[in-house]
Amino acid sequence: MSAPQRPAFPASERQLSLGWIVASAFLLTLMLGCYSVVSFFQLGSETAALRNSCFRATGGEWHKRIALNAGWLSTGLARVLAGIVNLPPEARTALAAVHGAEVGVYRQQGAHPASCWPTLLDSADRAMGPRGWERVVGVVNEHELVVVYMPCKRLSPERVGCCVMVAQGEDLVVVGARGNLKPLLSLARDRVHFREMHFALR
Amino acid sequence: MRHSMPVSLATGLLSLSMLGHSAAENLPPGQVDFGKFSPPGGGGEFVEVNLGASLISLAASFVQKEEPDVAQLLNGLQRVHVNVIGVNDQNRTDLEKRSESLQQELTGKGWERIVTAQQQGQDVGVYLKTEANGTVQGLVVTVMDGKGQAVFVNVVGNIKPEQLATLGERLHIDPLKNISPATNKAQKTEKAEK
Repeated sequence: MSAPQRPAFPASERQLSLGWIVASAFLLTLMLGCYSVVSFFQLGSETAALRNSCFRATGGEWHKRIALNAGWLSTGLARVLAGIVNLPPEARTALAAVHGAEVGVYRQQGAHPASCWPTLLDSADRAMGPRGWERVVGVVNEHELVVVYMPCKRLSPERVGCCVMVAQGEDLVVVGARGNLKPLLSLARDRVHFREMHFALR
Repeated sequence: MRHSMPVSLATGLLSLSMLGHSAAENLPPGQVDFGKFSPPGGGGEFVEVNLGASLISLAASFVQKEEPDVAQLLNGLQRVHVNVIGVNDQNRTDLEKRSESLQQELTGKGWERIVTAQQQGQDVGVYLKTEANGTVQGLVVTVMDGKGQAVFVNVVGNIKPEQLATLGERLHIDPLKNISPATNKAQKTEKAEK
């Protein structure tokens, strides 16, 4: 009579492996949750670089009023929730189009004179150029500066990103966004009377 | 051995500088480097728009359904560069010199001046770079308004002569709106007293 064969993995070892898997999954989820929470209040690298270029150019101390960053996790969650909640189709389209968005608002005591705008413009160009972003629009007048940066590499409607900085008086606003323009283009084509639009160059 | 390292380094630096120089020179035929403009002191107006091919094609896809002819025009463009600088006493002389220098450079490089207009304090120049088959590779518009603004526009791409007026309409470049194909073949000069 032959001895009974032992199972390849005894029950105790199976339970231990299962425990490790559950613990690892829990730890991973916890880490992911912590990362999401922390990153929600920090700007992405390009937007932060644009912001820092303004800080360097103007000097002094800037106070953060708000900084929010909705990345792929947050926007994905928003899309899932949008599927549950009864939203207008335009809102669903907008949520589907946005893959990430961030905004930072800062204030510094004492309005900045127009004389610092050229320095600020140069500082922003030096910060964004090595990152592969080029200035698409720059508008400066006595009271404000507005710059828009986009990636130099070939854009596709499915993957578009931009960074915008507006400096006005004591306030600085930096915005970053990335997403898929196709749904928005379809929506705009259906809603906007094109013949009333102009490409304005004065 | 003592001298080989500095010599190698100098040779390498020289090669890199020549490479950079040649890269800067290798702009498309219709593209012009206006140089760097800075916002005028005292808070004067400054606008710079620099649209590359990918962004222009995005805009073309937006209008494809409504106006396919405009979309076709836009798809032929590679770059649109616009500078608008407010003119004041501090920068007027410099801007006028740069405008004159640019006009001389364009003429020297074979650009065809199709419009020269001086009236009511405005100095307007329109220059075209054309291929042998008549296709416009590049367009430069310079406007010096002694009282207000200096405008420099460069449009790069494959533009058919009959599309120039449409381009002027869509991009609101007034000197182009009245351009006709016949104008491209002969220089049209208008000089009016103030």
